[in-house]
This record gives sequence, structure tokens and C-alpha cells, in this order.
Amino acid sequence: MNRKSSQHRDSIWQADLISLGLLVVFVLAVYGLEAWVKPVFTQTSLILTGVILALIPAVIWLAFFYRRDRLEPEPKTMVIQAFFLGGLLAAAIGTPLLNNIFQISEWLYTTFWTRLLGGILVIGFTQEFLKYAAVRWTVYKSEEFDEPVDGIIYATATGLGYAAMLNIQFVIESGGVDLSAGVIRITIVSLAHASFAGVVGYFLGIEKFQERPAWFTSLGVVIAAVLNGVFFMIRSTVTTTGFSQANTWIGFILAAVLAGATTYFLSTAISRQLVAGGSQ
Amino acid sequence: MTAATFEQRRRQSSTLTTVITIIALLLGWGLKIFTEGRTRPVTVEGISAQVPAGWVVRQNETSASQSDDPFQMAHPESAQNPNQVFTAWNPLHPERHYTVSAYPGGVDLPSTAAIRTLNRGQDLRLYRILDETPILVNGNEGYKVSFAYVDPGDVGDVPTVIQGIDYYFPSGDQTLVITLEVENDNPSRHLTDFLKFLETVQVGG
Repeated sequence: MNRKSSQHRDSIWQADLISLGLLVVFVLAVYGLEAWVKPVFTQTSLILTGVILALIPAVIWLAFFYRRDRLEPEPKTMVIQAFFLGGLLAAAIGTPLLNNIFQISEWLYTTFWTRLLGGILVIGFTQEFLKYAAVRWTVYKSEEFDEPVDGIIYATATGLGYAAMLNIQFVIESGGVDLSAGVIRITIVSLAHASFAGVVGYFLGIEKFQERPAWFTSLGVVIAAVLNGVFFMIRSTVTTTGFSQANTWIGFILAAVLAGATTYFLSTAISRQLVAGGSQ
Repeated sequence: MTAATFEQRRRQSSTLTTVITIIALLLGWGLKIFTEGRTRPVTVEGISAQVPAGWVVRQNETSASQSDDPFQMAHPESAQNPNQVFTAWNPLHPERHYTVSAYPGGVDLPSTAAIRTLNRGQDLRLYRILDETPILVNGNEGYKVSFAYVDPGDVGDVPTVIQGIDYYFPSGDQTLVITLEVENDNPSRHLTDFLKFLETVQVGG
């Protein structure tokens, strides 16, 4: 394993963990602002504030990524393109497919089992396949995609773009958001989609540089889709029952734990792969 | 493994991922069809219907205290409306309602429609008949009335436009009126599902 690659990898995990910490600070800051300053918004300024809030998790991650990714930096334009492609795919295919073709709001939330199965088969597979496609048929073929961890970087950028678009759509359709509740929802969606995309990216990265069976990356998409479906089923269950305010925080804690666990898992897995590759 | 074989393996991998996703979405579509097709039986005042599973059903609360005048109506949206038998709606989409009402028979359908229109016109804001026409549903002669009105809502709310369609059918000594109402939307978008419900409504059963 070469030293540069190891440092590069470490810097990415540090960036991910620092981003996670900053997101917690971001949520607490907006929560505190709402509680103490009690800002008053017009309808337009509320929507604009919501849209800006929707972009902040992605900006935090991207900013820290660039500060830390100095050893073998990915081209900024390609990471940003991956981010925008994620958002475009969400707006052009993901949301219309789920809302207009599958009309998930009509049936998916009917029972526990429809939430779970529909969440995995329809929402999970649609969203994770689009993130997979955004990387697999664009940057994956590029020479800049030159080590396994790049799969995670580009896929995470795509996932954040996807989440940012979902959040913007939510803010606009709701005519703005309650700041404290909105910022938690925005952060949950961003953390979750970045984590699921990271799983897809991990499998894509390994597939590109190591000999693997043809089903290897499909397994990654299946795992991400299952995580996606299960996570949102649990979140929708805990946030729609019982103590509404407390459960909003439970959803946030779930997302933070998911993001932390995914980061840890991917970090360990990539290290193991590189050690195995280096010793061959 | 040669570079060409490696590339071929990657292509197989992406094809397999695409196929798995398509299979998952097809299974998801099957789940949607199955879930939307599930119904539960509802019987109120001798009128039965198959209501989509998971929908809320509100029965008329005044069945025991019918008015002397069978055409006398409370607010048509109220559960106090003596002609209303029950209303059903999806709790996730309360903006769309199916309602079954019963009127005395022995009067032709256009006359029943005219009386209902008169009553609703008095109680609802800007009640308008958009279209009315005789129809045939599964060999049963009926009468269809498309209407619209404005629901002012509570103080401070933005008023909403309600559009709906009444289907009148004679049934024994009664006339059943089966109604679809939607807020700020076109009822024709929901007609397919509504007609499935309509076909299950029957007296007795």
C-alpha cells in the first residue's frame, strides 16, 4: 500500500467525520437561532432561506473535502458535475418516476409492510440506481477515477446532489419550512443519501480496480437500496408516532449514526482491500 | 485477466445491475397494484360498498333522527346531513372524498338531481353545475352531474375550489347518489379508481 494513497484515504475519512460534526453544529445553530432570535419571514424569504439551507450540507461536505483532499485531489469540476448530475437525475427521473408513475403517496404508506417493501423495491432501487448510473456511465470511465476511494467520493457527491434536489423540492412544495424542523429534515436527507451513495461508490471503486464477479456491484446497489428502504421506513415510523418534537431528533440521531457507521464501515473495508491488494 | 476481459466483466456487471433494478421496480409495481386493489367491506344503513383498505369511513351521525322532509339538508359536507350515508377518504389524501347518499325513490333522476342541486346551491358557496347528462354504467341507467363550488375554509385560510361528480342510480325505493369530490384538482384524474368503488355500491349486499 503506498503512503500517499493511505494519507489520501485518511484525509477523506477525516473530512467526512469533520463534515458530520459540522452538520451537527449547523443543526444546533439554526435551532438556537429559531429559539432565541425568532426571525420573521415573508413567504418568499422563507422559501429562499429553505433553499439555501437545503444546499448547506452539500457545501459543508464539499468545502471540507477540498481542504483535506490535497494529496491527490479530484478535479473540482468533476466532483461538482457529479453533484449537479445527482440533482438533475433526481428532478428529471427520480421524483417524476416515484410521484407520477408509481404514485407512492397513494399506497406506499398504507401499512408497515408496504412501507418496508415499497421503500426498498421502489424508492430504494430507483434512487440508488440513479446514483450508480450517474457515476458508472460518466466519471467511472475517466482517468481521474484512479483509485477505489474515488468511487466513494464521486458517488457521495452524487448522493448529496440528489438529496439537495429532494430538499429544494420539499421546501418549494411546502412554501418554505419551519426553520428548526426543516433544518433537521434537510440534514437527515443529506446524511442518509450521502451514506447510501457511499456504499454504491465503494462497490464501484473496488470493481474498477480489482477482479470481482459480475454480480459484485449489483450487490452494492441492492445493499444501498435495502438500507435506503429500511432507514426511511424506520424514520417515518418514529417521526410519525408519539412525541413529535422528540421524534424529529430521533430521526436526526438515526441519520447521524447511519452516516457515522457507513463512514466507519467504508473506511475499514477500503483499508482492508488496499492492504490485501498491496500484499498480493 | 486481460484488459478486454476485465472490460467485458464490467459491462456484464452494469447490465446485471440494470436488470436487477428493472426486476425490483416490476416487483414494486406489482406491490402497488396489489395494495391499491385491496378493499374492505363497509355496510351502513343497508348500503354496502368495498372501500379501499386503509381509508377512513365516516358514517352519518343522524340516521336515528331523520328529518320529516327527506330532502331537507344540513350542510352537505357535514356528517349531520340526513341524506348522507357515509363518506370515505384516504387519510394521506384528505382532499379527495367518496360519498354515498340516499334519497327517496319514486322521482325521476333529473328531478332528484335538481332538488339536490337546489339544496347544495343554498348551502355551498358559488355552487355551479358544470355538466349533467344521462349515463349507462354496466347496463344500469343513471344520471351524472358535474359540479364545482368554493370552500372558504377557516378564517385566514385560502379558499379552495372543490370539483366533483354525482352519479345518480335508482335502487329499489331509493335513489343512490355516489359522489367524488376533489380539492383544487380535476376529478377526471381520479375517475378510474372512483368508478371501481362506484361499481361495488349496492343496497343490501
